[in-house]
Amino acid sequence: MNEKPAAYTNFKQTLDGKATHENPQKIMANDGEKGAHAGALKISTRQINMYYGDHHALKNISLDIAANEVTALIGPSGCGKSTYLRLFNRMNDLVDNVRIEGEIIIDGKNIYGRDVDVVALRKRVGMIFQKSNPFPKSIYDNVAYGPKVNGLSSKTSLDEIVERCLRKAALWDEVKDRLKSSAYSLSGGQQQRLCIARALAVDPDILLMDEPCSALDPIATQKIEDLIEELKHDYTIIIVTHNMQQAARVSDKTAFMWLGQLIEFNETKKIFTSPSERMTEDYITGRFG
Amino acid sequence: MHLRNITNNLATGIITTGGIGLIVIVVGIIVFIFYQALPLWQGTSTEKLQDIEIVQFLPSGESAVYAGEEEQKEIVYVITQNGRIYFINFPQKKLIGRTELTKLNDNTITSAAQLFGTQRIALGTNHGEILEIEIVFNTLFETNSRTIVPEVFEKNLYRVNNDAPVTSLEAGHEDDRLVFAGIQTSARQEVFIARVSADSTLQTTYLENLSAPVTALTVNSSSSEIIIGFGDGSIERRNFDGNKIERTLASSHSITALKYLIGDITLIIGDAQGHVTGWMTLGHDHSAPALTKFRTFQPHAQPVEAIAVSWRNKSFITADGSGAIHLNHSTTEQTLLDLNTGQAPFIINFSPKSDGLLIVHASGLISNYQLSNAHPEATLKTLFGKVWYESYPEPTYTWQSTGGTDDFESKISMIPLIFGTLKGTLYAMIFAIPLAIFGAIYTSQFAHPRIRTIIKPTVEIMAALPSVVIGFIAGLWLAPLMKNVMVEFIVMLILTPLLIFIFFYGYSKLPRTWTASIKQGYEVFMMIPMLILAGFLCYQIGFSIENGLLGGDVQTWLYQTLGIRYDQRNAIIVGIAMAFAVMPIIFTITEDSLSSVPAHLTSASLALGASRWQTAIKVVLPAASAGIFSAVMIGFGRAVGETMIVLMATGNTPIMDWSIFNGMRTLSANIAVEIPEAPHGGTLYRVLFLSGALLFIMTFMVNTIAEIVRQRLRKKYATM
Repeated sequence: MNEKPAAYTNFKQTLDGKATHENPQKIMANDGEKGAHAGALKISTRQINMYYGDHHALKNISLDIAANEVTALIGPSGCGKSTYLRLFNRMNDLVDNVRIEGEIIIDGKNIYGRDVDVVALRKRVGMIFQKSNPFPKSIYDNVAYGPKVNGLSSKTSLDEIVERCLRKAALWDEVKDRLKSSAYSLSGGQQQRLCIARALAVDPDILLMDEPCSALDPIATQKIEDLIEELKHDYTIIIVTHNMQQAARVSDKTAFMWLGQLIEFNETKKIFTSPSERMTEDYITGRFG
Repeated sequence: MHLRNITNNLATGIITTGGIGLIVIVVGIIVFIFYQALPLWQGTSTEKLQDIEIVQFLPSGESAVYAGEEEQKEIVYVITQNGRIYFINFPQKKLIGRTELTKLNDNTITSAAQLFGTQRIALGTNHGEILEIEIVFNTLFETNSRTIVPEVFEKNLYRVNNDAPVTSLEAGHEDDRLVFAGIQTSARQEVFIARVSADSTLQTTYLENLSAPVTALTVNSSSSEIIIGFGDGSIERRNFDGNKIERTLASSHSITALKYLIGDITLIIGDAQGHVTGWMTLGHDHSAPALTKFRTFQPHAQPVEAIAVSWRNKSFITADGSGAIHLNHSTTEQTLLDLNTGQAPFIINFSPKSDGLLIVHASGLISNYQLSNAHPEATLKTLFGKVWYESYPEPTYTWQSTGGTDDFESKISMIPLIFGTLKGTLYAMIFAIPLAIFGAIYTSQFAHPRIRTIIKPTVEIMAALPSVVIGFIAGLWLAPLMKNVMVEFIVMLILTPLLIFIFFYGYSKLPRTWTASIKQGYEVFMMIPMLILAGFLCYQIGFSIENGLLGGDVQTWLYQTLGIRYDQRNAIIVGIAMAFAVMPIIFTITEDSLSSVPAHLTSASLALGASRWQTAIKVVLPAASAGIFSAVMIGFGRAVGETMIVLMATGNTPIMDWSIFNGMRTLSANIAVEIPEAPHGGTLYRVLFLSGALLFIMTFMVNTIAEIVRQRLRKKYATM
């Protein structure tokens, strides 16, 4: 580890000694009890470097993310925040010509290790995309898709999961009478919440959100933000957003990235009130970006 | 500025003309095809050329016994009782000549029989004589005009044993000699058969053991048999020595008319009830051949009085006493024409070219009809239905458009050809669809992008291969090869997928740390040793099976054990060759539509922990279904219309057999095969146009359905 960013040190101080890198076993043992360890170390990124061919896309990023918190990734377009987000469920594997160095440790295990089952990883790390992308299937089938591909076929269990996830995504009351109609009959905001319900259906403990509200109107955005607030009791959420207000509203921690580097990472309140880096301040006050 | 306007207008003009011209040409071709096929359905029409009151030329007391006409239908001859022949120029309504038969010696003519296909006529007299005459029509060309001059040759006068009136006469020839059969009626009825011997005398045999009164009589033109109809409704076949061959009950009523159609196979029987039926001698399994009814025609309301037979085709005329005249076509069992003249016809006769009809009424009125009946053998039934053809043991769908002789009954069923087309297409699709679609799924979803950039252009180059080359390779190289490695090939079809499955199943169970070093998308190269191993095993196993279980030769084994005939150029060959032709197009379109499924859908699926296979099957395939469907349909359409491959890689036998070891004949190949046989404007020519139209309809339907389904599917996945 060469030159730790200031944010890293700050983060260390906020851990309150509940969990450290040194005792990951404890977290893994309590894997099933979501919400029991708010603030405990969930994800640890260690000196991640990523290259698209010759292009050095992520530069030496180290970052620790605590459980049951919302971590926002902000930064100007092209700073690598979405790329970074996609490392957590190895979606970058699908891109040709990508090289990744460093480690990402989730619950004490390096997800870039040779023996990692990517399919199993993705079940644990759900993802919500920038543009709502329901399958061209019914609302019910969209939510049931994940459990089905993971081998669940019992109708009653599926019914139960669909209802639970739609309730969690605050969509149940709006769609309970038309579960069999096409997902495309929903409005944009509803579709995005459906995608959240779909992601919840495989029972992940981490949710990655890649600008989930960028295509939505303010009311729909409000609903998603309320939802994020609810969900963080059960899930560790990492959200990429362009919208500074949104980051300020929903997140506990904020990381500011610039040109593939992590510039600053701290409590959201701190970042938005008294950032330690000049560049962060310039960005959040709108002087560039 | 001015120049720019000119260029602009010129370009607009050229482009518009080109575009509209193209549409016009395409529509024109389609219209032309249908227009050429359409006359098949044109019914028979008649035009009454002329009616002539014969009495105006005949002295009182003289009446006609026989009448006929020459090829041009210009001159009609009428033979009277008193032995005079009157020649009448019909268009001019003018008597142009009269000949007296000198050899008759004042005897009266009581019966007449025309030799099939000639103007030789045998006349029976009231004193047991038979006079053979021939009428020759000489055509003279003078300046700008043509005159037909008739000439009568009186040949031999033969004497039947008994001096009694010959009331009914039939004539045929055995080799070169004339043969007669007739009835003499005086005090009692006697039926005789008579042969002309070398010294021009007649050897008469009187038939014995006739169980009932003889009411009708005919001989086949090769004079091997005489057919006798009785008053009790039975018919008897006898040979020319007078010995009975068989007797069949043909009707519950008296047989009133008998006649063989051209070809001497179909015997038309008319009875006192007016029923008209077609019979042929047919051997049933091991029993002796017997007369069997196989065709039924529109009945008359009154007893059938006369039957006249065409010299050109399988048409015949029946007439009853009320003046109803039916023109029937034997193969189609259709009554092409239903005339009612209102008067009892006395003599009916076809014109020599079968394009006209001559009717002499008892009142002495002669009517001459012009028939236009170009394609009597083509009806919906003969084209698409089961037809019981002459000499066939049962009704069949058969295509055999031409035969060695003029009296051949043409068989023009489209069904074996449609069947062949579908069979060829089906086998091609069986080979092409799985390979093309799985190949496309692999290429678009699993292969490394670098492999994809190699596979796709390679497959597309395959599409550029001319089909004649594929057909040539299939017919001349693959077919003989396949004959030798048939068992190995079948073993390979089973073994190779099985081995690959086992291999990859094992591979997926290997520890991840072992397999991690193989980059995603490159797994396919591990199949190469698998394929080599599979090929080797197939060869070994196939060889052992053929030698061990099938007695060393699979073709013999198939024939002897299963009764399956193995044709060298069979459906396997066509399937493989045509699959080779249609695969690239199915592959390319499928691959394109799979690749164009939005990445956010695949990402969503993968992010939910679905494997690549699950994503491909559950998300990508349904989303690309519209494109895949149209790919298959376009491939189907291509296979339906494919000509050269099926022409060269099958035996072109129009049989209806799904067996993979037999060939077929497709609509398209049929057109190519039969073109040299089809004279312009003939029935076959039009039937070939009809098969072209059918091909067009088939591909049009397939494409339309494909487009409708594609639009539906696309709508379903529209908002992606």
